[in-house]
Amino acid sequence: MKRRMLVSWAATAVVAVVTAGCGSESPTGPAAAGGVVVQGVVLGKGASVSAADTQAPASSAKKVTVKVEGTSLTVDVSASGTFQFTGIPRGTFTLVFLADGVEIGRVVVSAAEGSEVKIVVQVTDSTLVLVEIKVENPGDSEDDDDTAGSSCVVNGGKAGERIELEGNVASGSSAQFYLTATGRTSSDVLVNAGSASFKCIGSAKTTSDSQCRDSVRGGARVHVRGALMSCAPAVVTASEVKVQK
Amino acid sequence: MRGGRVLAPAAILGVAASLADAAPRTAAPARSNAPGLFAGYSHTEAGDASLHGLGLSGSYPLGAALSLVVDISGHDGSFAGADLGQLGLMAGARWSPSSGRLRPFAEGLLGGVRTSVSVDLGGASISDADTDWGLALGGGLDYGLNRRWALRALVHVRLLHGEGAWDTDPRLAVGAVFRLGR
Repeated sequence: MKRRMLVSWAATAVVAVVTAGCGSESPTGPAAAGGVVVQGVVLGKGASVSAADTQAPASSAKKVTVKVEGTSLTVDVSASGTFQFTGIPRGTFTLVFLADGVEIGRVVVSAAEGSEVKIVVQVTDSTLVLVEIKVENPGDSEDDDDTAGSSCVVNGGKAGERIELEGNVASGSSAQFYLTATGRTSSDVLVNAGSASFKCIGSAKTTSDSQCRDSVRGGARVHVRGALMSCAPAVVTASEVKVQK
Repeated sequence: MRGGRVLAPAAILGVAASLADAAPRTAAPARSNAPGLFAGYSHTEAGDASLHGLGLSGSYPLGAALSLVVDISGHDGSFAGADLGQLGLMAGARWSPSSGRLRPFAEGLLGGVRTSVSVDLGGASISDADTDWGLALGGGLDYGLNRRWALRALVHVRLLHGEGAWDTDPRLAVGAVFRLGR
């Protein structure tokens, strides 16, 4: 089923995925009738780019809970991987993800009154990877959304579309790293590669997939293929990472 | 598209109900506890997502009021920008105490539901799938049109365990039953 692009990429979405223990912001707006709605989907660690997973049996899966920091709003992720909040105060708020009660990551979101936030994350053993986030503001129309998405470009790639980048890993690991992209003078690109396939070629060639993933560290030369999720900050969800050296 | 899915079974039910009204009141009701096949529209709530699809089931009598039931359901929909699909396979027992035109029944089923999630990222997509195990409890009502055909409405509450959580998901289905045998 082809999903229609309904979202305004120009809508403010200040997104950061950081490890547990880092600082966060609290809701800045007053609670109002309606507020902000957040709908989310949590993928398991076995999620893949092209095929269904071989995820561990459900009995061994961790219970994932999502909290809105600074409020009493807490929901458990359902067995089908969905969660939903309603009535979040407008402004900037932080979604805190916990696996069996242990914080694994945060997502900071800015949204206006009446906005609908759609978020897809992947939970791996101890980290959270942001796959996709969209903010639909009140009054956004489908046509406007397409226009907004097209107006946002990083290294020739449009938001919501396929992009290929080459550059050096500035920091991070194979699941998530910052890329200093060739030809880009502004900030590094955040690459979410938790679901990507890895291939080490040339001088970086390795004998196993895990060795290849381990070679993704600061200074590594990589070629990333994926989809541009947002421009500011620049976030790419990778489907393929080729490590060159 | 989704509206059509909702309207189509409603239209079928309306036409069938009209046929039933037109039929002689003396028409013989459905046989008591004959093997039967059901097909119809099905709706379920998967966590926070509303999914629509198709329900199929077959029953085989084990006694005067007891039947073995196998139930297959497929649903899909979207939530939070992701496409969700659910395929359920459950089996269990149905108890149907009466054999008249209106036949209420209660049933309990055990089985699994496989949920797949796919996120389209423009040039690529990420997919995930997971099987949740559990049971479905519920019941419904058959309205006999003649010896072979009946209309059915059923309600299930599915208790599914997965991702470290228990879900209580309602499921509704309406459709037609065809009774086998003489």
